[in-house]
Amino acid sequence: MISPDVASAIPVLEQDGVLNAEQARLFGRVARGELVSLNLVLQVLLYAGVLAIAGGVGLLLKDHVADLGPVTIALAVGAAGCACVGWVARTAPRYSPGQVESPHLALDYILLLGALLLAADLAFCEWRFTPLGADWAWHLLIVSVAYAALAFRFDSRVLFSLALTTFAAWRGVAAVSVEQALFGWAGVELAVRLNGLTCGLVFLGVGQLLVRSQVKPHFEPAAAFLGWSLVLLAVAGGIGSGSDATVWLHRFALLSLGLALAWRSWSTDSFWLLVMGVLAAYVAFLAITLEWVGGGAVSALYVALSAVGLLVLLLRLRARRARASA
Amino acid sequence: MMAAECSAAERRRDVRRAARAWESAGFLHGDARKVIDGRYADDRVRLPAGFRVLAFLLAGVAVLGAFGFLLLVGDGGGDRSIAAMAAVFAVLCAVGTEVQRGPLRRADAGAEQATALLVLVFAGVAVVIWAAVLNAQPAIPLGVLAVLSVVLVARWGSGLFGLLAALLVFAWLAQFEAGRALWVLCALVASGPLLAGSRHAALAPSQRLACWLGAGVALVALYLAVNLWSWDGGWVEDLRLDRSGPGPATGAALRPVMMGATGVLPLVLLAAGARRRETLLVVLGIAGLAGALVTVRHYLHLLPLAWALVLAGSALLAGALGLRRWLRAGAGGERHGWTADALFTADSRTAAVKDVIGSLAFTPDARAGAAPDRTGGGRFGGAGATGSY
Repeated sequence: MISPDVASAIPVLEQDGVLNAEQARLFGRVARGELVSLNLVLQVLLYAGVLAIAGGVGLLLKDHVADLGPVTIALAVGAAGCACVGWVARTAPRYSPGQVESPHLALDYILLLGALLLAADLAFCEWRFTPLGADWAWHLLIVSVAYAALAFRFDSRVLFSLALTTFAAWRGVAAVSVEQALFGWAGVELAVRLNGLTCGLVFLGVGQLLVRSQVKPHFEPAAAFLGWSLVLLAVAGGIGSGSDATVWLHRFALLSLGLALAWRSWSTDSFWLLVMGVLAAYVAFLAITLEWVGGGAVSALYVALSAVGLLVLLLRLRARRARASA
Repeated sequence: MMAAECSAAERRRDVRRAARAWESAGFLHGDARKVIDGRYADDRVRLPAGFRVLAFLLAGVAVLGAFGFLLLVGDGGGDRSIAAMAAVFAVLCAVGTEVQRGPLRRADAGAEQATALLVLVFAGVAVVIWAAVLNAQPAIPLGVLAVLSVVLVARWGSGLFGLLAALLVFAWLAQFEAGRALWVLCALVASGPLLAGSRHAALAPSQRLACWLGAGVALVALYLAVNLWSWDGGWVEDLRLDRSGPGPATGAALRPVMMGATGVLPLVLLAAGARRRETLLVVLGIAGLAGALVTVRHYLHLLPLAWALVLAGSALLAGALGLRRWLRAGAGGERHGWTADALFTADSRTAAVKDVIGSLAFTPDARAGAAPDRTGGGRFGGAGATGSY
């Protein structure tokens, strides 16, 4: 963004030898708004284009089967998806376990479009021709694995996140539909929470594996974020209902997990995980202690004072850490 | 109106932030960045993003908890008591914000942002309740809040307040019988000065951001006011809280004007944005064009929605890639000051960027501060070397 303050500082810094002439020229042009990048706008346009096409194809599959015929539609959408992935395969650099810089602005978006088209095509085939029959939920797993394969091959964090969420969706759908025999004893809510918890733990394990093996270690934050979200949500779902024993178990589990996450992310400077951990622990703490405080005005005062106490504690811990690192 | 020391701190932070961006892109040596940090030193207490969010949330919970406690202790006490207490809390939050920003020297620390936002929330509660008690028109509380939010922008800056102020102003104007005309008038009068303000050196950076966002809201409001679908559907008139007023706008004479404006305004915005090198106008122009196409499709069912989406998406992809190619083909990788590449990245094709990389290549350890964690290969082979094609 244009900044008159930066623009006025640059000549001074150049005069004092902090910046050389070329640096001052470029930085000055940007700060004065004489050179403006459209990169972000182009990326937004590409993303919007991908979403519009994917949405249009979805509607096409849903509403126009009779007009065009299911085989024609399936072949056309499949061919379009393959064309997108084929272009990406030709354009992308060779596989590397590390982070690979994208050689083309559109590569990530065309890859996403190709993956979405192929997934939509698969869903259409499953719906129309029912090759998997009653085990239709497996197609979500197939899509998830395919997304993950494309994500690793072409170094796409967006597709990796999509692979994880599709995997979680598979577990959720499978638990309440085709795996009734396995999870029927638990009821729908508990089955979904158990699967969410397991998925979260698996994602956290995948993240650690990526870091230790140094295969796409930059995917780890996405796995950690999704993993912790699922774990905390699965546990938090049980703090309000159920028998006394399970409610208390869930509250203390959430408190422990929140504190563990806060402690871990504090030491690794993962600020968003810190927020998640502290808030989870605070919610669990309130759920536990408000039982004894009682309701009404006192509970409101208790919430206010506990928030102040936690805020002061966090600020003091941070100040101590800042002093130690200084 | 912003305290001088707060404004100065924001300006110094802007320079440090820019230096950090240059350094992280590898265009500035770490030592040079430290020199800049020293010259534009920070005298504020700031918190990193995660702590800031926590401080914001916890401060908000604390204040709202205290408000809830007093409400419950007094058993509500009637509407007037609640309104009076909300007004007292608004004043206390304002004082708290001033103390944090002034003597405590807090900036980007979360808590002062929470109390600042709560000033508006509590003032809103107080004004709305009083308006209901006094049976006043809905325009009055909205007007009071709009004025208050403008005052808060002037005093404390903040993009969020800028956004809220602009939204409140247009929500207030919508309450009048000539709401749509007032939207057009206000947007036409205010958007120019707001855009100028977003670049004006006299304003603090957060006030400039507020102006920029306010201009965005004003231009969106302008387009909504002149859009044909909005005109026929009475969208602006539907925002009136007082339903006893007139319904959708009428006037056959103005309909052709709206029809033309629906298509022309986005083009004007695009042209103005391209000329002024203002990304906001370009983005709003593109969004307006999309809005115009949606409006056309609303009246003329030229294509089924599925095909329309596929075509529009394909046009977006082709347009974005075509624009990128065209900009990159310009002299020095730019045209009229626009470039398709991200500015502070080593693989930019913009000549001005390549010149800097070239100049740094002759400076020993000049790029050591960047330590880019990239494995693209062949990217740092000298001036202008790039792995892109």
